[in-house]
Amino acid sequence: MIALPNECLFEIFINLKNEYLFSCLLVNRKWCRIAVPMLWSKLNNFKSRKLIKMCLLSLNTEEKKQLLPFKIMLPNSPKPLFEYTTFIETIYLDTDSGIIDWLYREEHKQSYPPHIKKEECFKNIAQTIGSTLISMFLRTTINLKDLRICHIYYNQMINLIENLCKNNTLNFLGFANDKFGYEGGRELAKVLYNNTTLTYLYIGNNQLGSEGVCLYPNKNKDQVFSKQRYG
Amino acid sequence: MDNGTSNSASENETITLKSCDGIEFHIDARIANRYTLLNNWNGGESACIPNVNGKVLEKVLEWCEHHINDPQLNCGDDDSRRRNTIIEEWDENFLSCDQDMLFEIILAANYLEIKPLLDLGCKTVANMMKSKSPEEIRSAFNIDNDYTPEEEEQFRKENEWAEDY
Repeated sequence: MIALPNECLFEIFINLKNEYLFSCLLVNRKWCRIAVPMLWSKLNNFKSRKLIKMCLLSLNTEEKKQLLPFKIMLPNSPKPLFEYTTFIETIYLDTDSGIIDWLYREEHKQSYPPHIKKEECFKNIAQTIGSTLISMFLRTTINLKDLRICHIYYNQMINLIENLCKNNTLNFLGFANDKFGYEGGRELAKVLYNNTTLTYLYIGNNQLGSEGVCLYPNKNKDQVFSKQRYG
Repeated sequence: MDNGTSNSASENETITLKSCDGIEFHIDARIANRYTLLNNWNGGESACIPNVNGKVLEKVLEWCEHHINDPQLNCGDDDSRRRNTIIEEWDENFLSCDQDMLFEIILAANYLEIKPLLDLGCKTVANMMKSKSPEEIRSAFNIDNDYTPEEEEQFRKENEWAEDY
């Protein structure tokens, strides 16, 4: 075949869905180097337990410590061939998604047969795993632009704050259905007040209390922090 | 890409393009005006195109001529351009040439900065890859596998989540 330059391969691959990109990255090393960053750039669902497993491999000692109380067996595969998480630009993480599936099928399949009562308990574990993954993403990504998170609690969000502070690539940040309460909203607002890259912030259905927290970051540093009284 | 000059040439004006192997083509000046790179070479009444041979340039110019009245694409809307792999019938027939020619057209379109033709060629190749295994892709495009078996297996395991997506 006539060798196409990388920029043309990129233009070809951009037309392919993930399942086809997967075939392309297995063709040879050159194709792999182009297809892998494209595949990992947008993680807009975490339904696959195989993806959860791959992400868990990137946790550092500190992050693993947060999961110790749950006595879950974290994956222990060989070191990945790429630092995949560095390619991520977009994350939509709902902790209700593949994490629970991963818990059931990879770890707890014998001791915890799937039934409704255990599900509630798994939800809590899943939320902690989810927020730990977000911590790791904030630490390891180098070009994360868009982060949207569903279903984490106040304490878990507080754990993210240090890494959120350090981030200087995010344009879009969203939290939905997270039950932060007023305190959580205030802590978050304090941190984000100094962020200079955010152009969009969404905090929805978070039980911020009758006094919602509102802030308007923008690139020009004309940031306004205000408390709004909702009706 | 600034195509602001696209209407400045009248219908009857022609210019001469010369391929790298010396073949001359007399084309509607509006074509040259439409694409930045051809436009840059259009200093006088004729221009020489290095790197593109006559056979390929003929195909490229055939495509440009057919699409001379297309609305100009705004380069900003990348997302609408991508992922939509539907190809019009004329273009499909035009690109149902042999594989070497298809790749030559992509290379030329890339070199000449004829973005819509580059997109079209890339979509065509992408469609040829869909639903093929890595081995089938290698044999369809005559590509050597330079992975070690262990490496290939590890890449497979690390990225197989993409199939569940």
